[in-house]
Amino acid sequence: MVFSSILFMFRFLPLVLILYYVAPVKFRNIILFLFSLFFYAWGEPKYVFLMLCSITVDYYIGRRIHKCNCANNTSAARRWMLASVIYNLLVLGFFKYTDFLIGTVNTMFGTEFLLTGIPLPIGISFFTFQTMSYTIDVYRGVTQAQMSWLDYGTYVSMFPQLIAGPIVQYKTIAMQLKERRETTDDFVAGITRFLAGVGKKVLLANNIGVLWDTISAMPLSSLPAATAWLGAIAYTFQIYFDFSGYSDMAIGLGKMFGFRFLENFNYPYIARSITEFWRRWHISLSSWFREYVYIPLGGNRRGTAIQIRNIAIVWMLTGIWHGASWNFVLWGVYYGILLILEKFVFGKALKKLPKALQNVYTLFFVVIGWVIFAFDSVGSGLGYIGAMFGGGAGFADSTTIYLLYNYAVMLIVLILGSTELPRRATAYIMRKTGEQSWAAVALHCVFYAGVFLLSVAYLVDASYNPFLYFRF
Amino acid sequence: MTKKQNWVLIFFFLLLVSGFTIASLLKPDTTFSEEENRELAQMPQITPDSVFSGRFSKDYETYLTDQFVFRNQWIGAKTLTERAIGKQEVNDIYFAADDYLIEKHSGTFDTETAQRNITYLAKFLESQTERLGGEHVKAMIVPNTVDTLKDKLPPFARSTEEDAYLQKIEEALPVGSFVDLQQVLGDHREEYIYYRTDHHWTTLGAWYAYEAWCQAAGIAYTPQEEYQRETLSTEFYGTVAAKVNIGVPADTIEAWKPLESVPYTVRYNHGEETRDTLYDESYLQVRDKYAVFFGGNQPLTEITTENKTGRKLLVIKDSYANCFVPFTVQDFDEIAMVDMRYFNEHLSTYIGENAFTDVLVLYNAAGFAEDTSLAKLSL
Repeated sequence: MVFSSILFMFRFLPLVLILYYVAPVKFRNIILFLFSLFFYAWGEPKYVFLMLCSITVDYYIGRRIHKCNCANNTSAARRWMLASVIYNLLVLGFFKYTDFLIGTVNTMFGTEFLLTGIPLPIGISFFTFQTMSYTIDVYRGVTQAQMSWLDYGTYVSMFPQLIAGPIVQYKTIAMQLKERRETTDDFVAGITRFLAGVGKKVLLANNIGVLWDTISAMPLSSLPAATAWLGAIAYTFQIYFDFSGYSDMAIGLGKMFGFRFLENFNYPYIARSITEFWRRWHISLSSWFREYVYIPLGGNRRGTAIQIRNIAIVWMLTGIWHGASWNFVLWGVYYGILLILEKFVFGKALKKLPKALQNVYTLFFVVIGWVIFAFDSVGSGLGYIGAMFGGGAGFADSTTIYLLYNYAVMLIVLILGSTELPRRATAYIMRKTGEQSWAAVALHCVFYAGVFLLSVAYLVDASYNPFLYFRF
Repeated sequence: MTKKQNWVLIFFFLLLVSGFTIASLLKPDTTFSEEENRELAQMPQITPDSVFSGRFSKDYETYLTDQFVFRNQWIGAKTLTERAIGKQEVNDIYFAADDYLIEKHSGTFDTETAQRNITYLAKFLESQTERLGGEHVKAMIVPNTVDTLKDKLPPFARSTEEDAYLQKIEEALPVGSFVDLQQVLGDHREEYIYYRTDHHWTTLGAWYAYEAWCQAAGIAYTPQEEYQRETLSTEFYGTVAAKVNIGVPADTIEAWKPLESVPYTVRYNHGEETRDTLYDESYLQVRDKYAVFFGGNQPLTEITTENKTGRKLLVIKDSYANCFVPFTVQDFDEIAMVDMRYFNEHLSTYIGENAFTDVLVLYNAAGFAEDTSLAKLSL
């Protein structure tokens, strides 16, 4: 199930909210757990058992590690922790990377092994990372082992963050699993955050996505550079508003149920360096890799050579995490190289540039990065980048102008929406009207109801499909 | 915000969500959407198999969205929003000048099917020309609204693929068999030759094509003045309007009836039904009013007239021909319309059994490019 659907907003959400708040506190986790299983099973009736299996394995291992830790048996604890990591990586590897491996072997050695065609279980990249963070942290003694299978299951399967993150580390919500106070402040913040996310996804991301779909379908040979850039920029906005919209929805929904997840995005497109970009983009993933890969490998404390090696490893993994295909590897390597260059070569020089130029520099490489990301085939991606630099057909044509003025308003909204301006404007208006004034309440109602109703209109329209069987 | 204000906001949100939830639960299911001209999804059956395969969840979501309350208003609201932020097109429909809604047809003409269809058509015309002589075998591939009415498109919107495609067809066909309608219709582009809300041409548009074809095929045709132009409907909202669902002026459908008409009978599908009229006026009461011509597309329509011209016409066609063929009733003893999409006999057998003297292939360009039944021309 996805949040931005009629099904979620007008069936699932009202039902889970009613039952959750009508039920006594001690039943709230089980309600959340059962609804989360249903949420997952909706699209993946079979894989829900895979998730239950992962929950049980890591729950059990967590308790074993706890026992070994109590008995001061570090090496046994370490063995259990490694068992958990291996189990999770095997699950992830089998379901996500089997066909990629077979395909790669076939191309390299000219063999003809058949692809398995295993469908990817939704959210597997997220929940395997979460369960690993749990066992590793229990091993490190950073957090207590969870003694309740139900509470642990509630954590792993929790529907707000189940299928697209953020990657919620167990230690950040361990307390909230046992004891949380749902407040009206949180609930209101949850509603507005959720609706803001819906709007970002349905009204902004989907809409600009149409522009990208239009342009990326054009033949490269007749694609002028300006149109190619327009397309790449459209995709850049699409992926940000789509993904951060999803995180907003997750964080908002979490708040409605009394959970506080950490932020996942922090205006990444205003970053002034690639390093800063990655501190602002998909924060839960970069912190996961930093905490469980980069630092354990020695981080930056064992000399420059080791540090470069570590950065390289982390970014290869980051790339491949995003998808089982070579373009993602290339995308990871691309960022690894940029980050190493910033760190050791021109980082200091960059800081001396005018701020606007630092911004342009960052966005330039980010946009190019998204083009690599967008095309499953490395060849097509490079071809498209070629067209962006004049390898297609000249600079611009009438279609460029047509698309530009069709999307002008949308692009302005997206540009402003990528900055802190909306937040500042809201704060300003709230200051003017008074935080606790009824005018502020009315403004909230009008704005969010507008976003909500328009989003529903777009969602219904997506299914609007005049069937022209009598056509011609 | 104070606690009281929080509750107001929470109440407001819950009211919105639960309001639509309850309304959508109470609304009785609809089976058919006139606007979309399709059956809406119904509540799917729950079986262990459908649940575990994931089919149930997919079908249920389709059902829920198809049956959601105020469906048409939501669509209209979306179109209005797109217009408001400066989009010149919604759902692949241009908002063109003079209240025209024009289908884009992007990507229609560069497919493999589009190229293959040219070959099929050329082969068919060659073999027919050999049998009947060049004057008696013609093809008319009608340019679509987007091509003929280019100058009504929004600024900088370009449509060139169809030009190139039509030119390719002309080059591939036997010399003299292609009747160039771009020229003919282009000369009359300021007249009402295409519907503003539908993808078809008007009866007037069809008449200009008829005139051009008669001249090319050496047929003495009835001039414009010798028809009585009868308005069938002024409330026609066609397929293109259905795709955007906002208020636009309606179209008018006309039937042109010759002042001196000849008696005829119309036989559908080898006598499945016989009528004495080309029009089925019951369709004027429903959304799809263009089906007033011949009651929509039929696999085989045979018209027998009391003319004594010695000429028998075969029309291989799509729905553009439905308002065209009535003109030909005056000029032939018999006319057969074959719609290859629904015609399940061997075409060559059918031709062999009937001594046709003339053959006309009549399609609109986009429909021709997308048709997947033209391989059957060589059967």
